[in-house]
Amino acid sequence: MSNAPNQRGSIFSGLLLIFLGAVFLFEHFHPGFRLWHYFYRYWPLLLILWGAAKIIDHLSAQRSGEGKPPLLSGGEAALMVLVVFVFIGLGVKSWMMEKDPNLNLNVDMFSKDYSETEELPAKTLPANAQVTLTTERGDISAHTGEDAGLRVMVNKSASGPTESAAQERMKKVKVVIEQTGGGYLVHPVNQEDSEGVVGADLNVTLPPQTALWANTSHGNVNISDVAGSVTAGSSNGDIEIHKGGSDVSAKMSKGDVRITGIAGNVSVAGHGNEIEISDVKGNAAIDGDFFGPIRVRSVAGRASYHSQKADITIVGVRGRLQLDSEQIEISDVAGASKLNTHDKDIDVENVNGRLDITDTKGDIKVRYSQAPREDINIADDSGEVDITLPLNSSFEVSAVSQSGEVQSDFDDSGLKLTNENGTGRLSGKVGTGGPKIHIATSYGTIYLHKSS
Amino acid sequence: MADANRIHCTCAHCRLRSLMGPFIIITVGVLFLIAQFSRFSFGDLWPVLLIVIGAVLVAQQLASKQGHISS
Repeated sequence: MSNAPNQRGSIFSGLLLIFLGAVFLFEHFHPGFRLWHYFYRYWPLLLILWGAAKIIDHLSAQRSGEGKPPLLSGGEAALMVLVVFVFIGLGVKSWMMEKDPNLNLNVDMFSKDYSETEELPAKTLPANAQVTLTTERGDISAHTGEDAGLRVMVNKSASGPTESAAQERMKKVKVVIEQTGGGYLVHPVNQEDSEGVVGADLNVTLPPQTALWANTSHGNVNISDVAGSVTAGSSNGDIEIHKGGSDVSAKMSKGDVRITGIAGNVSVAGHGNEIEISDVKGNAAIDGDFFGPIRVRSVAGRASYHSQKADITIVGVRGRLQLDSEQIEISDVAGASKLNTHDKDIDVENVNGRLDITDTKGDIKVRYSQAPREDINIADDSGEVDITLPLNSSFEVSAVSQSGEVQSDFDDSGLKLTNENGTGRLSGKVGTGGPKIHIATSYGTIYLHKSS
Repeated sequence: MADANRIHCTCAHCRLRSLMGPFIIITVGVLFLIAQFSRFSFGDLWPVLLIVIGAVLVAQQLASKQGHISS
């Protein structure tokens, strides 16, 4: 800091420190939020903060008639570098956590983690029982066993300055199996103490035909081979469900979801990062904002995605639906597809049913390897539209690019192509019969390609 | 830094500056106190210290230097 008389220091380093403190606090209480992801996208805001701080410096220096502080002092530069390193560190940390979710990077200088395992006596349940598993902190894993016994293994973990102190904390926590009106409830009691929350992982073997409800506030859920319906919730972790005989639903606030091999319907709701859904006999519905990528493969019923950024409904995904913050890819759909989004590139291949696409800003590419049988409707605001149809296609087309041109490989006599006054138009018929193709964009070229 | 033999500058800027130390000590005290009575530990709350230091720095730079006596 400059001590020269009549020269001010800058408020910038103070602001940077406040920013850093807020980042550390936020990261600590919302791990897995991918803060670095935002930094990667919004880092120019730091430049704006810098500029704004300098304007305030300038104004207050002018008001008091003192000299302006320098544009960037050594201390401020060092702090800026520190901010960048902190975010790189957060990025590396989250990358490592993704590789190995059990990695514990929360270095606490004063206490260490200890754990112990216990097994509850098996309990015989009636057929078709409903089992609820909950824990405040800890992973839940469940699978179906061979007999009617409900077996619960508990893995407790606690931190403490000494092993005996941690054991003392773990001893107070008891996992109980209670019979409730609707079924059986397995949960730890006295999990919360003055030091925080003692971890209690539940590793459960269920009788066949059990319906399962599993919820953890802090941990992952992993369920496999459950014949009854499954409802899984995690407010702070990942959910994985394999092979379900009935409906499956997952609710989450962050983390990834993976659901495969489900005989009933699948629903995923909440917020989070990646989603993977595959081999579903019923419908698959995703509702909420997920960072992505979202991958959906082989859904026999209707696959739908509803968020603030996109609205997609596809009937019969034989291929896949993939979606991330930049683009949507769809391939091999048995039925109708409806996409409503903005600011995304769209890539569609082989839709058997009707295709409806609405986009605001993004390039749209549609390819058919068989002649289309159902109508195609594409509306874009600014972006290119590129459609590739096979040689033998019959269709009736009407394409307009308000401020752009239309180019067509098809040059049948039934087609009328004009590119005048900056507006491109193509209309008319190719072959006999066939579906209607309607394309409209405000800015951008429309291509109609012929594939051999 | 002004030592005991010199006249202390009492402009707003320097007064805030000399308050930095007490502010830090008070914040540390409050954080440890919170750690005693809630489930948050000092390890959870230390970034608050950065925020307090930052806020005092900003306040200090915005404060008037009128009547500043350089030492």
